[in-house]
Order: sequence, then structure tokens, then C-alpha cells
Amino acid sequence: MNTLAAVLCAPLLAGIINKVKAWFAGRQGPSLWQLYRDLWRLLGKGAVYSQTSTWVLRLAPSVGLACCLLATTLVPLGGWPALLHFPNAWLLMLGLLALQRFSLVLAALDTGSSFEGMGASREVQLGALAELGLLLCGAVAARGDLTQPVLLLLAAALFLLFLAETARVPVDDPNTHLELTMIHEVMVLDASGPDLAFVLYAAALKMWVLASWMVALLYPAAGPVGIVAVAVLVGVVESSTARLRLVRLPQLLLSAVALAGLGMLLLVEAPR
Amino acid sequence: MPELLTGLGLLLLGGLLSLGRWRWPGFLGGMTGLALLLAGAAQELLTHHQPRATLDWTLPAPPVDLVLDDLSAFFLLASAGLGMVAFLYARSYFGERPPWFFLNLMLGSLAFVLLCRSTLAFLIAWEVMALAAFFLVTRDDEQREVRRAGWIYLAATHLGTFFLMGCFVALGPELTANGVPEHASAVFWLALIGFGTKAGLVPVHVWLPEAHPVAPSPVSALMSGVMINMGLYGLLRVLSCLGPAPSSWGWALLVVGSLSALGGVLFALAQRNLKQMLAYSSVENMGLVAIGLGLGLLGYPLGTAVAMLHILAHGVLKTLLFLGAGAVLHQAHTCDIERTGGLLRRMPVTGLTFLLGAAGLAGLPPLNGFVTEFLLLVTSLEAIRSSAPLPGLFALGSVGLVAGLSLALFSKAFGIVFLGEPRSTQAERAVDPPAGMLAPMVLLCLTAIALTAASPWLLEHLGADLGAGLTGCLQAFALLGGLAGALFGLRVLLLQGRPQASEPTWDCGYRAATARMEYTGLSYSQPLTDLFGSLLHHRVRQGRIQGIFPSETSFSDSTPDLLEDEVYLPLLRAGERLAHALRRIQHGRVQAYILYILVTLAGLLAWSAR
Repeated sequence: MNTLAAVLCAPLLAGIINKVKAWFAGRQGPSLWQLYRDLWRLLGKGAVYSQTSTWVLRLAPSVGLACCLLATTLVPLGGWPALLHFPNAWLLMLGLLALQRFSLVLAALDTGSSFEGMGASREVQLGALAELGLLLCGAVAARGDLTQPVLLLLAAALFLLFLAETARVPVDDPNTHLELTMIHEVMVLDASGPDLAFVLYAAALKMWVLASWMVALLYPAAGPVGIVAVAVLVGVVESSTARLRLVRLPQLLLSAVALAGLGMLLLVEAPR
Repeated sequence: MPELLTGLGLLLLGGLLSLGRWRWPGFLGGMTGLALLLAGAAQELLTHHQPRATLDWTLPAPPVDLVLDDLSAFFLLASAGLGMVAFLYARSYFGERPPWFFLNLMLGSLAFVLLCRSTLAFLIAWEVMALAAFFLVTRDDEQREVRRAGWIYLAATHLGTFFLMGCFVALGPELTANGVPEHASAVFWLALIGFGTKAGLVPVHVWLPEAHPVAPSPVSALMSGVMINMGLYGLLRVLSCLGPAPSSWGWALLVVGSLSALGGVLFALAQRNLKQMLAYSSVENMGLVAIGLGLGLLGYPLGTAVAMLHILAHGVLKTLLFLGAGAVLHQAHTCDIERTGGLLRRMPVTGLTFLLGAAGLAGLPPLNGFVTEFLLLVTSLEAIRSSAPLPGLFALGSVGLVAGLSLALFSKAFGIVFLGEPRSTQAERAVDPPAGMLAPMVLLCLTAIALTAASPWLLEHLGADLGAGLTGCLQAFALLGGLAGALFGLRVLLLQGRPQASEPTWDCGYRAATARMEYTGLSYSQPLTDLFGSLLHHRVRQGRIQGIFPSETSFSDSTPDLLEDEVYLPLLRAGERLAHALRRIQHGRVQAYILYILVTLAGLLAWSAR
């Protein structure tokens, strides 16, 4: 069920975030359905490939999208169970997101562009720290019996990691137009046509997967409302904070790891 | 047992004959011998019938017991199988004069170590194996760095053997479980150091990143995929003789394992020699195995089974990667990743197999590297849910960080070497190696895929219960393959009849990008090496840039092994100084030596008469 919802509604999240940002800035903003339109237009286009590139650049978007699609089948949402459910499925979900990252990074390196190499290099650095944080968060939830303070810590850690993994402010800015400062966007400079549509759709699905996982860990009863709330929150954060300097980013992610670790220590200390 | 002994004999005989006029008996004897050993091991694993034999020798020592039990058979199966693949590869790689004698001797003594249950014979075979490997490593001994690496390897392996001697003296003449020995704890710690040296665990790993890069590639593959596992085998064998383990042993393995895993992957990231990266990655993987074994000793049997599975996975994938690195070295004449690039276009088969191996060792689905990582995390979670969660938390933290870092490492290894534009003319001219070298790599890829599919079955055979979600994962893998294929098909369909242009890479409107402007391996890993800079001691030497139009400048960097530079070299220098001081009394005058003897005797007499 979550899979169906994700496949249909994932691009809506970006629309919600942009609407919230526009509302904060007092603008009308793009339509809620803008990403759907973009995807449709891109799917109808031809493609341009770099002369340097090989089959890696052509295959990577399909692999990445397959990973994100499969990841949606592993996460429950509110009362809707996951399509595939088995113990510790969330570990596979993290593994699939890692594979998606790997495919993006290799596609970026395939073009031989220094900008895309830069983005790839930043992506693996932040990804390594974020993966540790997500694992710790999952472990906290797996130990169970979460008390209120632990839930708060977990929520803070998960939200920071969510911002990093979905390439939002303050970690990455999806609106910037300067290759030197980008992370996610710069890796896909050479993707075009249906490939770019796949990449963008995969990013939207990844956002949906992580948001629904977050809701499932923190407050399962919220269901889809929780996901919308997460998107609104991202919009608020993006309107009210500036981007951090690149050298500061590891500290942000390490603080998320530390929050999750602290939550774990509180759990371990509490008598069962 | 007779077929195993015949196999050993054939290996030895082939090796000896290859010293003569013809080379082919070495290959033939090696392949048939290994095939017999492989068959024997497989038979034992399927039937659990343990063949035994006793060899008498004329030394004043008890006869040598040979037994093939489950543990030995598991390692023998992996070693013989990977040995055969490496032999196939070596036949093309070495060209004129393959060193069959030492290759056969190394694998033969290795198999003997696995069978042998008498400590004295074990040590002898162990030493033969180490020496054979030494002669293989120093094959290109006209190069200075090769001699240096060989020397470090020789010193390290003998230091390891020194601790093993102590361990075996305390253990007794037999490597069998008969009651708890008196000094069980001392035996364990000595075994951990001695066997840890062979396995390449931090802090006694220093020989590994020295010896692997300079050895001929099939030899590096054998050492990394097969020989270092013998350290783990030794440790497991000694543990099986020691009875119940106190929790301090489990913790020791956990801590050593985490240090190795993290240290290995970080130092690997900072290297620029492809084979050195792979060597440090072996340190990392041995660390992951040690973490699994540590969890096993602390009461989570799944940990031990996962460790065994990871030994197998790492053996296959690392052999594959070393053979791939060998192909790069053979064809592009360099392992310096800053002089490679764009090899996937030029060496398509090598590139594809290397990509599979890299994705597998980075712990990505759908290969067996992910399966073992998944199970290791599941074991840690089981420990976290228990009443003593600390070991689990420790293991989860280390494995989690290592997973992310190894993704960075292997995206660098594949991305910089095989993608982009070539950074040197020799890389530009490289082509795929001959089929004799490609076939073993393809074979290893297929093995890795088969091992992934068979992992539930293997796990069951290793005595762990399923249900940890492994079957779910495997189903999801199949689905992943289908989905990716379908999406790729959809993409091809969408692009049909539409314009597809080929243009230079987008570089901000600049259309004349050259390979010199590409991102390098060093710059790729710089954010991570800077982040962990306090651990790595990454050294950069760089000329000053002056003026508006700067003239030429230079840049060089190196990441030497921290322990080697800061701990072992000072220690060795101190030892050398001490030895120099002792030379005063060793001057070659016989009369004085007789005087020493006399004085010593008198002293002893006085002491005994006291």
C-alpha cells in the first residue's frame, strides 16, 4: 500500500516544500504538481551523453530508481504494512539506498568532469556519516521501549539525517545554480531526458521512503499526515536557515550521530 | 584420506619437477593436486565423515596426526578452490617462467597446516608456507622497494611464529580439545598475537600493505584471499582446544577487529597505489571477521557463522579484485591510480568484473558482501536487544562506519581507475588481457553470485538458524534485478526514435576539458582523509605559489603507516642500538670467549652450591 502511495505521491513532497517556502517568502510559488510536469516533460525528450561516458552513465539512473522503488516496498506507513515484510528489513532498505548512492557517484565519475567528481566526493563523505547515523537510529528503535526523552533525541537525529540524505538546506541547496557549491545536483549535471527523469523521481522516492521510515519509528499512528508534516517542516527549516559551510557539514552529521548515540545510552541505562 | 595425501604429493611432485627443464608439470601437478584436495574437502563437508591418518617420522617426537574435520574442510575448500583459479591466472600472467615450485609449495604446506594436529609439524609447515610466500613476494628483487617489503614481511612473519612457539609450548603437543589447558589465557593471548600477525590484524598488520603491492598479482591474490585466512584458522583451531571462553577474549577480538576494520579502510582511502588500497582493505575485512568471532565468543553463535561466511566472501571477492588489479598492472603498466582512468572503455571485461567485486566488498546489495554485512548487523542488533547491549553497540557502531567508508573506498577504486579520461598514455593504450587471465575473473564473479544465492544453505551448514530475514533479502535481490532490467528497458523504449547526441562533458561551458582537469583520487578522498586527519598523518609536500603568474610548482603526498613509523621503527632502532652495544663483547677473540664460558660456569657452580 505504501508502495502505491509512494509511487503516486512522492513528487508531491517537493511541491509541498516549495509551497511552504513560497508562502514564507510571500510569493505565489510553483504549483504543487510542478515536479510531475517536469518528469513528464523529461520523459518525452531525447538525451545528450558525454563523449567520455560509458554504459555506466546510461545504466546508473535505472539501477538507482529500481533501488528506491524496492525500498518503498520495505517500509510500512501508518496502518499500511510494507509489501515485503521480514525481520530487519530496514537494514536492506539502508543497503538499497547505499546502492543508489553508489550508482549516482559512479555515473558522476563516468563523465570525467571535475565538478561531478567534486560532488561525488562530497556525497560519499556525507553518506558515510549519515549511514552510521541512520543505523544507530534504527538500532535505538529496534531495542524498543522508547521513553519520551529518547523519542525526542531520536526525532532530532532522524530529522537532521533526513535533511542530509535528501540534499536539503542546511546541507545542500537544491536551488543553487553554482556547480562549485552543490552536492546532489552537481552529480547529475550530465544526465538528461528520461535518465534525468529517473534520477529526479528516485530522489523523490528516497525522500518518501525516509520520511515514512521516520514516521514509522517515531509515531506510526500519524501515517500519511506525518509525511506531509515532515515536508512542511523541511520547508520551514529551509525558509528560516542558511546553508552551512561545507567544512561544517561533518559536524552537523556527527551531532546527529551523537544524538542517536545518546538516545541509545539512555535506553541502555534504563532498567528493562 | 588417501586422496588428500595423493593431492599433497602431486602438488609437491609437480613443484619439484617444474624446477627441471619443463614448466608444465608444475601447473598440472598443482591443478590435479588442488582438485583432489577440493574434492576431499567437499566430501567431508557433505558427509561429515572425518578422514584421519597418522604419519610416523624419525624425529624424537610423537607421530603426526592428520585429521580433516569440518573446520579444516571449510578452509581447505576455499583455499583449494581459490588456489586453482589463481593457478589458471598465473599461467597467463607470468609468461615464460611461472614460479610453480614456490606456488605449489605454498599451497601444499598450507593444506598440510589445515590437516595437521601436532603442534611441531604444524609449526614446520607454517614456516614452509611463510618462506614460500617470501620467495614469491621477492620475485622482482632487483627493485629496492621489493627487497624492503620482503624484508618487512620476513621479520613480521617470524615475530608471529615466535609468539606461536610460546603459544604451542603452553598448549602441549596436540591441537585437540582434551580438557581445559593450564594456562588457557596465556595460550589465547599468544595465539591472538601470533595468528593475528598472519591475518593482518591491527596493530600487527604492518607487513600486509608492504608485501601485497610488490608481489606479483596472482601471488597477492593468493596471499590476500587464501593465506591470511590461515591466521583466522589458527585462531579458531586454538580456541577450539581451549574450552569455554571468558568474556575478555570476546572483547579483545571485538576491539582488535574494530581497530583493524576502521584503520584498514581509512588507510586504504588515503593510498594512491591500487594494490595497496586492496591490501589495506584486507586488513579491514579481517577486522570485520574478528568482530563476528568476538560476538560469537560473547554468546551469539550467529556471529561465528557470519565470520566464516565473510571469510568465504572476502576470499572470493578480494582474489577477484587482485586479479583485476593485476590485469591493470599487466596492461597499463601501472598501479598508481593517478596515472590510470578511462579503463572501462579499453578493458571492458576487466572493468565489469572489477565493478562486481568492488560493489561486493563495499557491502552493497545484491552480492554476498552485503549478505555478510547484513547478518553481522543482525547479530549486533540481537546483542543490543539483550540484557548486555554494549558489545552489540560497539560492533554496530564500527560496522556502520566501516560500511559507509568502504563505499567511498570502492567507488574511488573503481571510479578513478576505470571511469573518466585516461591520465597517462600507457592507460590510453591499455586493452583487455588475454582470455587466460579474463576467464579466472569471470569464474570468480560467477562464484560470488552463486555464493550469494546459496548463502541461506551455507549458513544452515555452518550451524546457524535462519529466519534473520536473509531469505527475504534474497527475494528482494531477485526483484531488484527484475526492476532494474525493466526500467532500463523502458528507458531504451522511450529513447527510441528520439535524438541522442554525444557531446563533451559539461564543464561550465568550457569545452576543452582535459584529463589533467579531472578529479584525482587524492582529491576524491580528501574530505574523508581530512576529517580523520588526526589519525592518518597524511603528509603533503607542496611548493609555494608566488606572484600573479606563478611559475612551476610541485606537489607530493604520502600516507605512511602510522604504527610502522611511530612505533615499530623506533623500537627496531632501539633494538639495533642495543645490539651494537653488545658487539663490544663479541669481538672474535676465542680466548676471551673461553673466559666467558669459564666465568659463567664458575658463576653457575657458585649459585648451585649456595
